[in-house]
Amino acid sequence: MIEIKDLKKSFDGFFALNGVNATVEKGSVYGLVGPNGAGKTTLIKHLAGIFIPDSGSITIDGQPVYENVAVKSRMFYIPDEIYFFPQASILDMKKYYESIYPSFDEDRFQKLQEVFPINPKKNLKRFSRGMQKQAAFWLGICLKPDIMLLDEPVDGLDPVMRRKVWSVLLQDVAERGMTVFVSSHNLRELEDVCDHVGIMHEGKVILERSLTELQNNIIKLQVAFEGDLPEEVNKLNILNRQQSGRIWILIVRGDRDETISQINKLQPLLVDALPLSLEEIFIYELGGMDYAVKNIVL
Amino acid sequence: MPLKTSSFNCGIFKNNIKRFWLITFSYTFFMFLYVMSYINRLTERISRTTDYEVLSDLGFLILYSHDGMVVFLGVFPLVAALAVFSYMHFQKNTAMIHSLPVTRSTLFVTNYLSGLFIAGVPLIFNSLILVVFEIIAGIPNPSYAWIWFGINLVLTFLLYNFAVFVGMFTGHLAAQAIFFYIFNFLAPFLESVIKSILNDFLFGYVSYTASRTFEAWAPLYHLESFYREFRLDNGNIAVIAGYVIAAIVFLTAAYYLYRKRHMEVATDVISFSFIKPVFKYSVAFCSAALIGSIIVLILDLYRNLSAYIVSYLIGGFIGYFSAEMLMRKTFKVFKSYKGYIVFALILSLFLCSVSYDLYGYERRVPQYGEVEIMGLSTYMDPAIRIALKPEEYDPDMHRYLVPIREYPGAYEPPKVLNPQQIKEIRESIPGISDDYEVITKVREIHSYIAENKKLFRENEKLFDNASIQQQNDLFKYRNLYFIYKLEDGSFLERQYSLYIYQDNTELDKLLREYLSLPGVRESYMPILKKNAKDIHRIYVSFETKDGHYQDFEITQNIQDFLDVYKKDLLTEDPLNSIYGDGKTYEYDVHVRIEFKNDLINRMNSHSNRLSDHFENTMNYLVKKGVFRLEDLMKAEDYIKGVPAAKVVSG
Repeated sequence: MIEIKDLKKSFDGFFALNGVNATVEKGSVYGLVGPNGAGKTTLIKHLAGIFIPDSGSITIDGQPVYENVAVKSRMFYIPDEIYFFPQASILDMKKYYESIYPSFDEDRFQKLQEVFPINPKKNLKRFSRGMQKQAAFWLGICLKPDIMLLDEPVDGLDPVMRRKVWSVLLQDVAERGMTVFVSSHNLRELEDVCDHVGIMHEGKVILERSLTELQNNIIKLQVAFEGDLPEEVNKLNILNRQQSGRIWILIVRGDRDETISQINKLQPLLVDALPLSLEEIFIYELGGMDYAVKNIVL
Repeated sequence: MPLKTSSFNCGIFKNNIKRFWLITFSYTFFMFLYVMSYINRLTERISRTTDYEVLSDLGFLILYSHDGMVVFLGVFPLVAALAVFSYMHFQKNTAMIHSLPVTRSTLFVTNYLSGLFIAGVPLIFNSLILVVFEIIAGIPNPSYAWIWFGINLVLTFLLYNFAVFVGMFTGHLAAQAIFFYIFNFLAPFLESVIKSILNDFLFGYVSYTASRTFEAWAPLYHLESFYREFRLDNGNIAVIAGYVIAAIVFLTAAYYLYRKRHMEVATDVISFSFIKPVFKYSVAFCSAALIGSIIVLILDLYRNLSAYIVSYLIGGFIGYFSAEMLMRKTFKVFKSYKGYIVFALILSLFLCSVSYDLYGYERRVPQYGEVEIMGLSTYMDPAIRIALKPEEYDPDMHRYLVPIREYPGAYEPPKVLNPQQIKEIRESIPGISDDYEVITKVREIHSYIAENKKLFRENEKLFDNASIQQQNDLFKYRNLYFIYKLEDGSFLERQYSLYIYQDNTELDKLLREYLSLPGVRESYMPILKKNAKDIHRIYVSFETKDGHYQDFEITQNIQDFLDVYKKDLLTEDPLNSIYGDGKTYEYDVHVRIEFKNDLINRMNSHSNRLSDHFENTMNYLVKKGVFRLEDLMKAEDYIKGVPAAKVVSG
């Protein structure tokens, strides 16, 4: 289990992380979302043991990450911008990782050649960004890490390759209980793979739930009443409201059944609960944090 | 597999060696060419001799040339450090390396050793070639090859460690290289700049052009001296030890800094916030010194305090805000002007304090009781310093001072001076004395000069503004170098270049009084102490009206000639004899008197062009038939185009 407690990190007086608290259960796929500059990459670099925190702690199964070889040998980090040694091929990098990670699995490497159709002898610098990502996944998966840290992991991969990569990763999650901590702006994709989601904003995790809980906690209601919207509706925690004729679309924070029950008491002409995507949850949650989508007319 | 119990990771090491093989190879190759060229020269010499002693001496030829090694040592240790720690300077590289399950200690140690391997193996390889060659070639003593190896190994260790250390407090590859070179030459640069400031403003300041004090602080610059000292079996072990200690300190500091380094500083010019102010103000000062000096030089603002301050503040301004721009990565840095104002104030105060002599440097004249021995010379002569303080004697640099009596086959100066040699050196240099009267008079002269700074500065200005004719007619130039060895063993030195204008005769009066003290004039003019028995030979050279130079050797009645000549010399104004001013010459007649002296490398002769004052000597020479006055070329008849000299013996 990954536990982050009151983690703070500042750069020249600016707090990139301002008291982050988060918990990631073993074997889960944790999606970290947030606007640009929220501190996601900084948080992941702390998790990977690259950055030294100003204060707070990060532990994995109770052990601190920073300078802990035992803990770090169970993790693998694939950053957004991947670095390979100049002139190195996948085989060169494989040798390098083999010398550092005792868990490197040669059989896996051979098997995964079917998944990743790239020449392992070719200079990696000649590969496209997407192919370099494939190489990173290929090597990373062969290390059989307990924790995979991914920063914008599938950025640059084609849709087929995205599926393949997630399929292999989720297989490891299911079979070996690998934990995946993934930061991405591709919420549609995260929705498919994550079981837990944390939303970061201005250096803090403002919301952290399982995806189901998150989706249950915010409801998109389509309602219609005789006349105007009753005053009692305002007692609900409404995040957003839009009117189209007599029909209102309400985004309400709260328990799904309870909210519908309260609406029903007001004798609506129409009550309909619509599914809410992660993207919509993200937008409406951050809307309450002064990060709303605004219609700008130029 | 990683060695979990140690701070060394074999995999990373091998990877480094494999990735940077080209550096190791090229270094080995170029050094091999260097060593081969030496071996080639050596082979040529060996083929010309079978003499055991000559062969023995050939070994130290390797320590004669240092140019190639300066390039190698100045480039490859730095390149090695840049290569193995380059990842620190790039965000994505450092992220990849530091996410690996390896501690920072392991990373540092492994990368450090990789770099040391890259920088060290070529040297070891080529040194072994050298030693093996010398043994095979039959050179009896290949120890110089080992010394060569040892010196270069120490310097490699030092420079590589320094390059690594510099890399720790910057996050920029180019900055690491630039800092490396700047710091390597910073000490001599600052020394020369500060000396230049002091020289411009402090009345009497003695500026040695070639400094020995901070040379060792610039190892690449010091390499030549290093080789020379070891070639003469006088290697400075203290400097070697200092370099090793410095290398260890740099290594320890680098290790500590690496462990504390925040990896997000990649691409920053300065990686530790506590170094930022040090960097900023250091750049400001160096820039003030460099740019300020250039402005002063170009605009000829010598000794103009306000112009000096403005020039230095312009330089400081450029340096201060450039440093800010580099650190903040923006041109919008002028809001931090307060720091510059503080800097400008301190710099201005410093320049003013020097100019107004707040430290009492100019006024300091030692009391008689403080002085053990002193010297007064008409020019700044470093030999006097050695004569007064023989502990500073360097067999290589000061070998010319040591009295020798015969030319041995291969003359080697003594490593330390014995009392007899010290006595002889002191006697051979004019103006050295520990006599009460002499010291008192010298103090009086010194005090007079120190108290009349304003007068001499004004004279200098008058001289600068005068025409050449006025400069010749109205001014006399007096250069004086005072050196006192104090009882506590320290030195007090002052040097004055003074212009005496028309009626300012007080200084000359004091100097004449000084020269009239017993033995003083004789120390400046040893001929006054000589008699016929001390004379080896006397030549008189003169130019005749037909444009020929003739040499005439006086072989008889030498004492008679000396008596007449010394009489003329003694009645001449002693200042004229020493400074050569106030003389007129009707004829071109020269006297050269060579002394009998068992010290073959001392100045053992006296030369003089006979001025109009030497009437008795001229009459004597005419009387003896050396020449007739009507045959001599007169100054106003002087014709250019002198035929070859013709020697006539009389």
